[in-house]
Amino acid sequence: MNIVTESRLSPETADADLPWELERRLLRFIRRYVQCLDDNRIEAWPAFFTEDGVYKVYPRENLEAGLPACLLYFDSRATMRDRVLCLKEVSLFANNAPRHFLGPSAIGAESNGVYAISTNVLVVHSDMEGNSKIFCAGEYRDRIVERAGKLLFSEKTVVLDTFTVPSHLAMPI
Amino acid sequence: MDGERTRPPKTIDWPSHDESSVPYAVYIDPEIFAAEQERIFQGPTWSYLGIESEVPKAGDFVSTYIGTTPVVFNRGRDGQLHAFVNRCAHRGAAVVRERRGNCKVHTCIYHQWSYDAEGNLVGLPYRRGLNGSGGFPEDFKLENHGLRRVRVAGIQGLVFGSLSDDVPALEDFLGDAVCDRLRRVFKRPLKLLGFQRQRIGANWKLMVENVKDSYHGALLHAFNSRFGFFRSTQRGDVRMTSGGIHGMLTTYSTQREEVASAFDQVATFKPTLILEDMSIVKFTREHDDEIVTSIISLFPSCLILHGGTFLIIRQVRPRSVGEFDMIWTIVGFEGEGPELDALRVKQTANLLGPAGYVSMEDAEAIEITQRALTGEGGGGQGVVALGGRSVEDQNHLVTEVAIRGFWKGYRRLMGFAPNPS
Repeated sequence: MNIVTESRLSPETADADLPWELERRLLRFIRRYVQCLDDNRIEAWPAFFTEDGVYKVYPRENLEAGLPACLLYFDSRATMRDRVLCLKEVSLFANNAPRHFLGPSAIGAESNGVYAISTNVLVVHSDMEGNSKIFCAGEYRDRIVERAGKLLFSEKTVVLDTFTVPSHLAMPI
Repeated sequence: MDGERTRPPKTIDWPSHDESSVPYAVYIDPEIFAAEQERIFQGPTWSYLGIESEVPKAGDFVSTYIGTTPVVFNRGRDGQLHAFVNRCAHRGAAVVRERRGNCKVHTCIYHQWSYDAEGNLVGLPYRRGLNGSGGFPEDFKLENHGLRRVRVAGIQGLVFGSLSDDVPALEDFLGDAVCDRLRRVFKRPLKLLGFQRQRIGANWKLMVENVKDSYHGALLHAFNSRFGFFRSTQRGDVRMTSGGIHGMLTTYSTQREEVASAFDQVATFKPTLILEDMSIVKFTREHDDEIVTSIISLFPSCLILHGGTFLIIRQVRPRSVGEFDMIWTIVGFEGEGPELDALRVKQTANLLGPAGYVSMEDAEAIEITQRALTGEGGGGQGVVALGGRSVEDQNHLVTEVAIRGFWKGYRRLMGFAPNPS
């Protein structure tokens, strides 16, 4: 199991000319993912991944130093379902409403059925009294595949510029 | 001189002469926070700086803090570790601006004064002037304008620094029992796996107390009680050194014959929470004894967690009376393969750290404490009387005795009240 696998899309490999319909489906898939989180439908989150999908929140500090430690690390839908169970039934955390803001996506060429896509992400948290604060800035480095006509993340890495987490990190980003 | 700056102690009404009450003012009074910097962090204590593995080569450096004082530790060309206060001797700018790196000399960007690894001033522009004009006076000597030195000492690959000239030797400061445990836990050269950081809106002492608090472990962190990971009823003990300031909370496997199975699968009890992937609670047995988890707190602000397949050093960096950063340094041992690294990373991320099942609640709990205390204005006092009112080692975990030990030492260093013992 190799944890440090991320590579940023280079200017040469980004902006591949995919069929327009395919590009629209990929971008819609990424948008649906953040809508799921913003709508607090956490139980639907694992289904965005392949059965052996990888999700991690990776501090930029460790990425740059070549160190493997993550803030969150899941290597299967099963581990993600465990997270959902704990968040819903066990863990206690600040009651903030998240809202994800995505920048334009850079879409790489398809390689062996995998689409590489990078997207800037900003998450704003609003507390129960209606105060909003930036929670984090970062970048999605996604690997998306198609299974039985459905797009799924085979890998989703959130490279966190905000690697000093404000308070704590409960919900996935 | 730095040693003469200590201000007279602020007076505070400590509610009683035993250690079971804590006045809330200590968490919210900015004057007390300032006094702590002088009397504790710049006083006769050792603060955790990092691990040797962060600076393997000559010239490697790391920026860190002792309390709020910015400090750099680095490895000199002599192979030794050195540290200095990161404040230029010229006009006070930060000399080192990077988080970490490697360099031959440290040069301040403002006027390019340059320092070696020990903080000696080794060069500056226009010392003799330019074309016969200007320059520094004849009596200006480089050796009088070095960076403020920080004493450095290490144990088992952990690096500590002190700003005090009066501090006891590191091992005397930590005490025998703590040193023995550190030698057990950090038994081989450490391999750095990375960092996690969080910024918490609470007084730094609330975090230190939290780690000494075996009371909350199974109550706040429902994961523990649902899963049986750390329970107050487990066989365990609290050991303290140096008058109570350093504490160790230890859990042991229930019965000797169960040791092996406890490590195969932590759930020798009946969990009410079933995970699909049990690897995040998998124990890797590293020692031939009955210790399951060690939670070690080194005064003032270094917190060590060892158990399962995780080994973590937490550094608490106070920023203001109501805010601190906590840096989690994740380590394994040299020679371990990628599979064990990966298990350590997975367990550290999902079980511990700012997002962990048994630690994310701590930030929320102490932030709501800070909010309530600040709102109310600091009158009143907290109670830490579980397991008695005094400070002595105890052979169970149904106790807040390690917290009382902290306050006993804190009061002495701060000069707050006569200590009865």
